[in-house]
Amino acid sequence: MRAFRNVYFTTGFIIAAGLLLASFLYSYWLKDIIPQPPEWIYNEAGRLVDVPPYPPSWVHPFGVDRQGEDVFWKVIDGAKYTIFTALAVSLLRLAFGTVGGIMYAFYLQKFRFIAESIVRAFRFVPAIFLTMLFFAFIPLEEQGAGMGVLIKQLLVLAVVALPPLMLVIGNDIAVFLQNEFVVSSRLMGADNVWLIRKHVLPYMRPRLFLLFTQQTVQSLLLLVHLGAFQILLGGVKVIYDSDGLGPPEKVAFSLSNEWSGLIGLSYREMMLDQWIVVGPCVAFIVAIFAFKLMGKGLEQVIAGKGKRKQRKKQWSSSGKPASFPPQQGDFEFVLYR
Amino acid sequence: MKKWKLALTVLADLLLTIFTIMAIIAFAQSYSLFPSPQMVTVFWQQFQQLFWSFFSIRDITVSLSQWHNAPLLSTMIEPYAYSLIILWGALAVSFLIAVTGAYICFLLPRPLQKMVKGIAFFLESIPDVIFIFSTQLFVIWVFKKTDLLIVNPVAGFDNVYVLPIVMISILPSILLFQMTFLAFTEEKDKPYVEYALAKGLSKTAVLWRHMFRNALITVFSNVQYLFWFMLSNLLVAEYLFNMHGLFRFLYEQLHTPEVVAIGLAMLFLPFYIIDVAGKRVIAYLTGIERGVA
Repeated sequence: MRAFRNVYFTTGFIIAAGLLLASFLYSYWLKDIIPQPPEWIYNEAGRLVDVPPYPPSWVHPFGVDRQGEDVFWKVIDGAKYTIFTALAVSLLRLAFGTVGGIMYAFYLQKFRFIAESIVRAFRFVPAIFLTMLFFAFIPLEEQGAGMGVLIKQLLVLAVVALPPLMLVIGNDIAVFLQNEFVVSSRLMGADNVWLIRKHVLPYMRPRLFLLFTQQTVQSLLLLVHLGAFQILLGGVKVIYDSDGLGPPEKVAFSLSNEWSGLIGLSYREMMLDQWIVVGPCVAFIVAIFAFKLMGKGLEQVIAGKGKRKQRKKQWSSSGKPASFPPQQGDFEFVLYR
Repeated sequence: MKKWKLALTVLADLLLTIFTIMAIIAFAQSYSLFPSPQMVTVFWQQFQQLFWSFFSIRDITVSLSQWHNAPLLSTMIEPYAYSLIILWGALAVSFLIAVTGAYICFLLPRPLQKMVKGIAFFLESIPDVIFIFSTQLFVIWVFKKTDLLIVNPVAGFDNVYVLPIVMISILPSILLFQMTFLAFTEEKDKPYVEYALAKGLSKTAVLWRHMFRNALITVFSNVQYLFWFMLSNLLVAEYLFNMHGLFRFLYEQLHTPEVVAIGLAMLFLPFYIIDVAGKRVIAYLTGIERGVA
């Protein structure tokens, strides 16, 4: 809760929470109120001047896409899926990463050499390439869409970044365990469970929050990449769209308005009507920026923990003018334990 | 004696990493069978197959189209060289941009410094894909407005160098700029700087002669993160720009595990050597042995 006193953290939190709130408001309430964009636009003389997609305007800040839907509200609607996916992936990573990191720090320190070279392989290959590799060998279309596929995909997204995270957490804990108070606690007979509960977890808690925001940023980046490579989370719906000329065209739709799906499916619009792609891109930048701000705020909170107390003490001691000879009020009596 | 040991650790490190790459690929092929014990046998078979494919590298062929097969090595060498040239170019460019930027920014007055840092922080949160998207759009926009094609944004059959290098290097150089600037600010408060300034040396002299050298160590030790970041940028750029680089090649051959394994190993090799060399340089500069890995 101390983190909320930090400007950066609070700003980032408000942006992210605002996006989510708007998204939920939209799907439960605003959806029925906001009018659909018009299917045709006429000018004063009553002549047809435009059909969707419309370029961005004041009424439709991100424009209107080919299916006649407002991109802005599509993006808002997709915010909850995207952000929750990123949060879920980073939560999974962190949960496994913490367990693995503790195991590594306590039991596997002898295999440090091996662990580091294994992790190097994971770090070296871009996460998106690993993800594609994992997705390439399972035929997703055959399994159909739905929760099962989605969970599998989320697990893959979590696993591709897991080993480096384990190593980071493990090394952090291993350094922490060399502190004198930990060593003396161990000498007095504390076992590993006690050490983890009383020393490691309290130390790791703020750092885990920081890692959580960082991992969320990483997962969001991974989602953008997935969008660019047209890999969709949760499967796709394929409909046959015909414009009356030529054979019906296969058009894939994301099941939700998830941002990476919005980017991936309309990538070819980039050369035609850019705003259809720009909308979700802007949304991604805003979301990543928000989580980065939160991370920066947390970093400051963790680093500046001791500083603020010191400054307060100095202020209070210099704020009060000392009288000579000292009176009883100049002293503060404390209970000596 | 010590040198032998070093060479041995480097070799072991290298082999382990390549084995891990093979294991990842074998796992990717077998994990969909997860609950059944079949998974283990498939995994082991695939792993062995990948392992032996490294020894028969000359016999592997890739299918370029339905009817056309070609030996792997001769087809891979061209995209491989292309990717490496772009990566090295981008690395040099980003190093140049970052260090010059940090130097200029360091001499600016404080409020401006803060502003530049803020901008860098914001720019850093732009995903590389979107950045590359927008560069493409920007080039097209300029072309539409002025009829001036700065560079051909979509590669045809001939390889382009300038635009990809610039594009791949910008985001990493922002990252590197922040690191360098942080290193500078950390160095600034050290007593030797204060002493040098008190002696009457100019700010520029202190910066170049003393602080820069020390800050360079921090920068060098972060250079591997830069590589990784750049690789991911390159992957995206090759895909979006239709460049004929190694990642594009691997993407097309994603279903032939041997090719992917060999390609990744080949990409990994030069960078690992550079990494080790960089660590040796740092150890030489600081006199502190930090281990090779």
